[in-house]
Amino acid sequence: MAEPGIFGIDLGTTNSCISILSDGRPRVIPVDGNGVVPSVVSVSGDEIMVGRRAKNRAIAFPEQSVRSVKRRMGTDWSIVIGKKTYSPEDISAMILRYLRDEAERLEGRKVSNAVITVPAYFSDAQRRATIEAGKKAGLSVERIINEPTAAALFYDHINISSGDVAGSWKHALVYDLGGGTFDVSVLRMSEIIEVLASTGDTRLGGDDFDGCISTHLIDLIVANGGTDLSEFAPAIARLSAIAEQAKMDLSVKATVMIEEANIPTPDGRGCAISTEVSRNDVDEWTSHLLERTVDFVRKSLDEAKLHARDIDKVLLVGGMTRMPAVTQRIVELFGDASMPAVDPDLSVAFGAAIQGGIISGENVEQILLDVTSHTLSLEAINPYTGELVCVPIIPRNNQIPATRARQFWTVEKNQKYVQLDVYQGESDLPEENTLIGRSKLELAKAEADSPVEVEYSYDLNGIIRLTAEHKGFSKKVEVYFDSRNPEETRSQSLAEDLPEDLEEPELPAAPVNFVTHRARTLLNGMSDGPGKTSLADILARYESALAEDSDDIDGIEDELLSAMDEL
Amino acid sequence: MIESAYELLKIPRNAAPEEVRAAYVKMVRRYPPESFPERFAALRNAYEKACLGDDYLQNLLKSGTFRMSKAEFAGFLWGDRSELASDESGIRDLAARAGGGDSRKAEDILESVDISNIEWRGKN
Repeated sequence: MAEPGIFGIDLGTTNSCISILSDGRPRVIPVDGNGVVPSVVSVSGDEIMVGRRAKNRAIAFPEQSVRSVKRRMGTDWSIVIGKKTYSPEDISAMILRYLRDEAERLEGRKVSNAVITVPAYFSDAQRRATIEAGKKAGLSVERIINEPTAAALFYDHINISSGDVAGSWKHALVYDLGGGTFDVSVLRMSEIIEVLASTGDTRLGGDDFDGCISTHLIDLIVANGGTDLSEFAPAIARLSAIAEQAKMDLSVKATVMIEEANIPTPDGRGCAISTEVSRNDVDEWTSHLLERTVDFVRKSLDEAKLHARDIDKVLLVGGMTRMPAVTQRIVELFGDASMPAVDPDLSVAFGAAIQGGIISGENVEQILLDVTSHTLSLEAINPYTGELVCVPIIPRNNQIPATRARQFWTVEKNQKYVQLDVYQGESDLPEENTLIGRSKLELAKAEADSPVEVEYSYDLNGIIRLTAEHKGFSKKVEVYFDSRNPEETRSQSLAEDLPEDLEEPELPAAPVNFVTHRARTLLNGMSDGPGKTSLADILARYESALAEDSDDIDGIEDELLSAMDEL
Repeated sequence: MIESAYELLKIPRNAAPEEVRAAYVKMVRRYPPESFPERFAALRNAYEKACLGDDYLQNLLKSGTFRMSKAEFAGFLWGDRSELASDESGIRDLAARAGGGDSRKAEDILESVDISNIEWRGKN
């Protein structure tokens, strides 16, 4: 029986994709034919349709269908279809469950563990909502990783597999323009992959390009004496589908003819449209969107302290990078950098499968260090102005996992509690940032100005935890907050102890680094004998040296490496 | 025992930036964040201290509009927010308590506080 394995899922705005690492290579599971599954859900009575079928049905029944739900993740948006109300997590869970069921059917094995990708610029609430959707679909979400980082992981993997020296290209920029979101990340790639800067917009993608085109089509209908359909949902659904098709056709053709006889109108009589649209027209209508992505590219280079000429490779990810205007603009910006040609629809899912392999211990060769995409701050009183300001604790572009603490002070004698409001954003004005959690820590009786240390932890999933300590009066406690209902204050009393899962994790039984992985792989392939016993002995000593952090670890590591080289 | 940044990276104090980086990469490969998240955080902090310098954190914040100097990081945490507007006098003396409004002095006070081992003698 095949190992269960950790599957990689790219849960995209427009399309989703599921993949798995097999024999060291990522492979897409051909759900819906080629593995690119439209992220569309359509509900007909008791039947839930997902993917290609749902996409086709959505054109006729837009009010019973949901597209681009990813843009609603982490919000309180909901939709009523039939008699049921669905949250964004519910809809995303339907897509995930479909991917899971179809993959199980095609692979003939259970799919229970997954790595799911999200835009790098996703907030804490959006990440938590994604994990929730995974749980609702019956998946154990092993990790949430950033989409541009997943793509970089995949490109790096290709390089390693093809025997390319890891150091042959140093700086890469991932330009990821998907159906609904845009991310740009700058990476330094050597023996380890480090994200230097990451930025983006979770509301900028192919949907907006389609929107520009359909707005022009609506204007054209009005100009020809038709009704203004800009408020009529069935017409917009129809025109968006036409716009999307025209945009895709224009990636390979200079002009397209748009002819549609049956556009729904409020009076039920329908209207027709017939017009020729050229690539130049669309480029012109959407140039402001393209320029917004360029602004983000410049910003991320700036934050990484690099110039465009320092970038050796530009990785183009996301279906929108097929648009010729996008590639042209990138060439203008990064003249000499090469752009490896890899399927822009699949590389994120491939990267997610590789990350799955890293977690399961199948792939320990690649080490990836990602960063935070937002500054996390705490609201406090600025003593010089008396104003409430955001005091940064973990800055953006800080490598993760990260733990940082800062000391604050109480205002009053015998202050009963301190209000701990966690914000995300780049301003020192709370009103310009996003509140992600509100909680308070009860205090013991103390003088004014007694110190309260507040510590933030940002884990590998990009989830934030908060611990606080009234110094000299209490133990460190975890302070909970609810990022999906940020206005609600969670109160934390001093009596509660640190939850157990915050304790130091036990060393996993799986290989922990590339040295132990290599040794274990070798041992598995060796027949019993003195050679095997001796290698197993050095490995055991090395593993305990790692766990105990003993001083002679360097010596044992060298001994183990040379013993393996001799074999 | 708190290890110094240099001890953690196993490098001499006068190591050049390239050596610090090489040591960091070597240690991260030995202790990948996947298996040793806390160890990684310590290595990262050591690398920042030994190689990227004290301005590193401040530089990361430059893209935002955080205008606070180091001294102003002496943020005070209010309890009941509804009192904030009414009790102006309490707020007014915070600056004095944070170092008399002299940011240089406030910075000195902060510097002198050993956060890792503070003992607060309040009257209970």
